[in-house]
Amino acid sequence: MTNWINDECRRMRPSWLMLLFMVAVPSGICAAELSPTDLSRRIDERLGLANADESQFADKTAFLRRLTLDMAGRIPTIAEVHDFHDNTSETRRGDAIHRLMQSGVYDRNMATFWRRAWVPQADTREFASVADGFELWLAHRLREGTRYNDLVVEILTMDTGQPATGKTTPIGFYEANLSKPENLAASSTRAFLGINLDCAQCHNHPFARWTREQFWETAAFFALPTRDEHQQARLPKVRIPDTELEYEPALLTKAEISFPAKLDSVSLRQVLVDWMKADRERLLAKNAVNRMWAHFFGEALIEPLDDLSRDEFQSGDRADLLKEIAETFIASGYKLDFLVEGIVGSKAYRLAASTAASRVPSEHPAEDKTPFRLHHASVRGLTGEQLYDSLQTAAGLPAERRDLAGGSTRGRRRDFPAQFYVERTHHAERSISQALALMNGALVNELTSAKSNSMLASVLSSPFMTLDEQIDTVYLAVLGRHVRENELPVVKRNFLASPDAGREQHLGNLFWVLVNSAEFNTNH
Amino acid sequence: MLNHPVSRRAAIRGLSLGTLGWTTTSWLPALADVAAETSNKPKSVILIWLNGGPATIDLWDLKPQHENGGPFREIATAVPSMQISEHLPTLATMASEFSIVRSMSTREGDHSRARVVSLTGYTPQGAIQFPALGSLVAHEFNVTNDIPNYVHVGGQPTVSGGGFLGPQYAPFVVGGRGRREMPAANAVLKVEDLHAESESLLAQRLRLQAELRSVSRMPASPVVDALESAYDRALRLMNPRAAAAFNLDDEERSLRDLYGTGAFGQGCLLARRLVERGVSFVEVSLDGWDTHANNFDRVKELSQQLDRGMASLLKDLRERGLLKDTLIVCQGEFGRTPRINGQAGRDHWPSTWSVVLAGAGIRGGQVVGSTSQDGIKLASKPTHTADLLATVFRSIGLDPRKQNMSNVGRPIRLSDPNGEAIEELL
Repeated sequence: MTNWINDECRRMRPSWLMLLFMVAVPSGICAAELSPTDLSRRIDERLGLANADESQFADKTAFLRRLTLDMAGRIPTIAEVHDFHDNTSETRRGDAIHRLMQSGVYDRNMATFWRRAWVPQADTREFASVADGFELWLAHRLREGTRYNDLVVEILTMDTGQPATGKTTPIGFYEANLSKPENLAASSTRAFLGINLDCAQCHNHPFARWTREQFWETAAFFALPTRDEHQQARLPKVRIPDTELEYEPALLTKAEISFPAKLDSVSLRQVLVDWMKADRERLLAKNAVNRMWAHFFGEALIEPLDDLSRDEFQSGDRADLLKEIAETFIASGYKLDFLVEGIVGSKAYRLAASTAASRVPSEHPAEDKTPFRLHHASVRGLTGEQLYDSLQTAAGLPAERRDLAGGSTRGRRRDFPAQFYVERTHHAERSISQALALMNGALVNELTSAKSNSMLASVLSSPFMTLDEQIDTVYLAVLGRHVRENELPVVKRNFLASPDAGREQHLGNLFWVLVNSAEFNTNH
Repeated sequence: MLNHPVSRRAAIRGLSLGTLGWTTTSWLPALADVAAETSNKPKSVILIWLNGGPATIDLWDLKPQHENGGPFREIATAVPSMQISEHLPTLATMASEFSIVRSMSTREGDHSRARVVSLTGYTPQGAIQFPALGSLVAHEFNVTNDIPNYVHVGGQPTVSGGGFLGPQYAPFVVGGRGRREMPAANAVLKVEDLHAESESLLAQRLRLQAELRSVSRMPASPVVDALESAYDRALRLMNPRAAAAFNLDDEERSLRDLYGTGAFGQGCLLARRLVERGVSFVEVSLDGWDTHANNFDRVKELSQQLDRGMASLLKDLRERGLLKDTLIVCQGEFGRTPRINGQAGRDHWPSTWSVVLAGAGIRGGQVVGSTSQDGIKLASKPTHTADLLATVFRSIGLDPRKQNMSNVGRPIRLSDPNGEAIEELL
């Protein structure tokens, strides 16, 4: 593989002095010159999409809907659809990306995304209470532009012994793991490195890379240092339950550790996170990129998400692309916005969700020896949060929560997404209860009347609108597109078939049908 | 319309178009007939869940000779070697139908952790999403039915999703909902959102939906198929014939009274109706067993509900010839301290407690294992969660060592391979 960061550097041919400087500190300097556009271009080259054209791309409205769902966690408003449609400039996609990035709802949406990646336990009833606090902390940090590696450092080196008064902290990570060394070890390696140590907790598996000893050595980083008879701090030992086996902290790579002079719980974990940042395998960055890719494309570059260290995933097109993006991400200084902009700015992200029969993905994509190509976007289910916020948006109600600064009056915004929880969007399934709730539930049915649905209310109180225009507006509000020529007569014929129902009921019925459609319930 | 070779979607579309002529009397007739064909009934399980951790020392394993025993008396049962609480008189007459395991011993003394471990059989580990017993059973039998195969009655299930088996095997909740929501105090036994507010409105909407689906340009995808399949199954459940399973008004008044008129008794009756209709796993929850104070008054009252509901269920199932195919398990997340505390209560106690099993492949009339005179120690046959679950799976003809692929790419057995089924019961 060629290191394209260096390629880019050479291509730029700066001054002599500059060149000398670059030899000394190659990637740091060069990264400053790299733009997200370069990342997008490189992704497209890798995927054979450098020359992709409009015929392969999603149309304008489909692109805006996809982008808004992925970045803001909701469908676009009618106004946003109109603005984007009317904008014919070359930069309209970039404008939309930047506009979304500036919005507070973007930080909120990404906070939910990373919380789910790092603290998935909070999606169960048992640990639900930690979700709010953790996401609040994360949203604040993301808004401040905190770099990815610094987020991980802050979580892993949090002084859990100090009660934090009046400020948000990532304590939820510890609470969801019951502050137990073995749980924290399994969660930290999985969440931040994409390494699956779960199996090694109980036994040595003949084919697994990690041993039980290594699992418990990692767990020891989360134990409290002990004190000897002279009150000197000593490395903690953790014992495997029901055995006499005890282990002290050691790194997975078996790298030499120089333990800090002032040994305590925080400085001990600092050793672990310092190694995570410095490790040559770049798993810290690769894991972030792989999960981010899955957020925008459904299927990750390497699946499963938490087995990045497996031998067979170290080569091939997917592994190479992951490595390249990860190196760029590191060179950018772990800037999440750089990564996001690079991905959503690519042609790959613009591909249409083709109507051609889908190619069946291979069981282990990374082992697939055929070149890694994307031909169309995958159809993804909406997460519970996306579904709730999109329902609100479709009804012309504010979807964004105003409670970024605190507050716990979430009510439905908490319960509904929990009811519609989705594990992975590209494998999203629906339960019967969920389908029933969307068909017969109170929330959706309230939104079919003008009393609760401001979009319908304003359509009905606009006497200048023809029936065709009213129908079109409902389509724009719910599906983010105009009604099609073959749909309009169907809708009107159905309205005529129930003459006793008034206009409000007709349009309410249409709203109901559209929010119950596969088109509304997926990102495509 | 599109031209692609996805027959399932075409089938669903055709089906939806079939609803054009919908009336309450001809709801999706084609589908209803398909469901009626499932006559070869596999086993079912009814889990009577005593939520909060029941004082089994006051139910199934009394200690009248010891101060830890408290005020309850022991009574004789239909089985000479078995005595149970005086507040379970009806069950006492049916003792040959069920067996007691008096030597359950587990580790978790915290409610939520103990519930998770009891119901999944595994201690939470990292990101593995262990499915509940009900999901596992529903997945193994995979019965074709208009009614969901795993139904939870009363309050909230401990594991609300289907774990790594997916939402298709999630518990279908009667009388409550939500993943994070806490159980409602007086949940009514009804299926949320099963009925449309207005059937004529629903008919209009379904008609429009069917016609618009037929001109849809949504690309074929597994996600779209899964969505449409869920709608399809929901509509099948709304079919009056299927929905009627949940309508207890169809039962004789006298039988309803026999079960007990509270939510628990009616839940037991509902469980029978569901099992009768081929549902693989039904959980019926009876809450209120966390008796840190005033244990004896509360356990007495709860025992009466349990006695009526469970005894009626056993009798009803036997009379209908269903008991031989239906396993009944009665347990909570742990037992309670043999020592009585200062408020006449008992605290959490996982070290020694009892469960009751009946029906399916279980030999009734047995007492397995025992505890010491004071109830604090096991005296024989230590039995752990894995052993209990192995027994449950074996008794309904499933191999506890069968593996399913989990969400972390590691195969997980139905129950922990360290468990050994209780052979005396099988």
